[in-house]
Amino acid sequence: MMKTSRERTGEKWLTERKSLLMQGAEARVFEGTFCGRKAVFKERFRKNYRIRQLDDHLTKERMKNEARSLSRCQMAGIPVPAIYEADLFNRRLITAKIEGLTVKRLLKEAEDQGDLSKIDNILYQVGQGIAKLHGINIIHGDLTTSNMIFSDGKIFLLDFGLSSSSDKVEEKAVDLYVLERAFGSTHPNLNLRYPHAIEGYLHSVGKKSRSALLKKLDEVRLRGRKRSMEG
Amino acid sequence: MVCVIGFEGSANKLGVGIVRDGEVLANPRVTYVTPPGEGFKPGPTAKHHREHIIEVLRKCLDEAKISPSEIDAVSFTQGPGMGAPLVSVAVVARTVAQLWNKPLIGVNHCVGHIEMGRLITGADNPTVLYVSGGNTQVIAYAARRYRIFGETIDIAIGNCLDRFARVLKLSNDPSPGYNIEQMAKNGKKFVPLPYVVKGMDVSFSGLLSFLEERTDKLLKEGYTAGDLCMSLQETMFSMLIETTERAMAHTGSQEVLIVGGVGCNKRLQEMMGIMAEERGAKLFATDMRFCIDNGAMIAQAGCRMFEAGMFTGIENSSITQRFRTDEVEVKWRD
Repeated sequence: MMKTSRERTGEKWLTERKSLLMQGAEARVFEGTFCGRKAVFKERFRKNYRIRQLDDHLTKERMKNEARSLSRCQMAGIPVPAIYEADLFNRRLITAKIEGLTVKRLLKEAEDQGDLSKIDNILYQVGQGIAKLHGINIIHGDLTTSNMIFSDGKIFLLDFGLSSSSDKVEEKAVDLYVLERAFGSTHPNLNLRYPHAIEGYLHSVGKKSRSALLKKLDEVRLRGRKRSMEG
Repeated sequence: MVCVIGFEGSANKLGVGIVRDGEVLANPRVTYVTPPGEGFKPGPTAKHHREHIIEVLRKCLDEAKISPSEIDAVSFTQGPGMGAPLVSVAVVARTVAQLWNKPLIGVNHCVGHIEMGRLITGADNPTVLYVSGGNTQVIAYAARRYRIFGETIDIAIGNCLDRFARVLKLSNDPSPGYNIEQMAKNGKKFVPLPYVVKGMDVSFSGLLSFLEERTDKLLKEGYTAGDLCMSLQETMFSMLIETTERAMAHTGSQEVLIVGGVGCNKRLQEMMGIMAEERGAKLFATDMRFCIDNGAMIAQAGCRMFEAGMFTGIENSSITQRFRTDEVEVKWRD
């Protein structure tokens, strides 16, 4: 079989998409190689359930959000996968592959082993990581334990498609509330451990923002629970 | 053999149904319909239910062709919903339970929808999209609870549809949502509207304000009412499908079930079907008889609770307007 010129130059420049890792809500995620390095290919295929105009608009916005947030995190030293290529036309983002377990898997394993201190430790680190993210005014928009990978002693944040930029305490509190809710439904038996994540978060922010955030978080929680069911 | 009668009246539908071993024996229903431009309010809705409940109960027993002695328990909607209508129906449920000397079972309305959906479609462990006038939730079962993965952070989808129907002065007969669905079929030009998704949660209030403020202007600019209905549906439904898919990706689920009144919408079902197909999952949906609030769904949840020995003493049978889906311990599932 003929080899392409790219391949002929050797392993070093090899770029190929291999097997499907998973199909998320917005994209198919493949693993492969980019210029000889292990990479993740995130392809936002056309969603045929929504009309074309809406699909084009959302895809473009989200790819831009994701690329922008990833590069801002990288500059600030927050653990995220490095961007290799952002191709708006082909709806494809190539990033470094982070080797490790998702925080979801890690917590389930620790739960099965009954290792509470490990759970608390992970959650504390998760909180610290989010505080750092909020510190540079990035709102993730879809924090779940599936969107975090524990690797090399650090927690890497993934999937910034719904991210935005804001310095408002309201947005940060909603971001944390989204995680709290996702956590509660994904790890129902670990609800009592969750405050460790908040603790890690608060530990990493200034005293003034600490009380403002806690107040806002209570407000947001109440809004969710006490919403009128009438109508 | 378990045979339970169920009473439902948490909003503007009043229904009484009987389910015996998974078979719906009767399920009559009446709807309180208000004039165009008007919503239904608690007081008049409760009055409507009080006026019709005896005839609906009679009809239910006649259609089922059984006598009260063959019934094992009386179930009723304990919440969530509008206070006054809930009370007016609960009173009748308590009364017949004592009259016939049967145990009482207070049912969470949302759990009723889920159990009915599972019964009718045969879905085993689906991710559930529950969409109605008062609720918008993405639910999945885990560790003995129906856990809420995502929901609206402000108003429910049906509430948003109803209120937009009022802006256009559409008829409330048979329902505002149905009339929006018909209008949307004539829509051609898409109007970009606020699209707000936060993880697995959605928000509709900004979308509604946007339309309330601009409808007159948009109509003058040459958009038709159909265009607006189509754009509204496309935007809201896309938000719901997206969050449902996110929950499915997160939980690794391969089944999806739509329940609740808005679940009758054919376009919503079509969109969900495409999403499911694209990820190799299966869609389950029901029709108007069971999507829209009805008595049989309360009876079916009552059957499951009866089997699990979950009864409600008269002293604990007061209704509650706010009753979250995840408050119920689902003892009848593993």
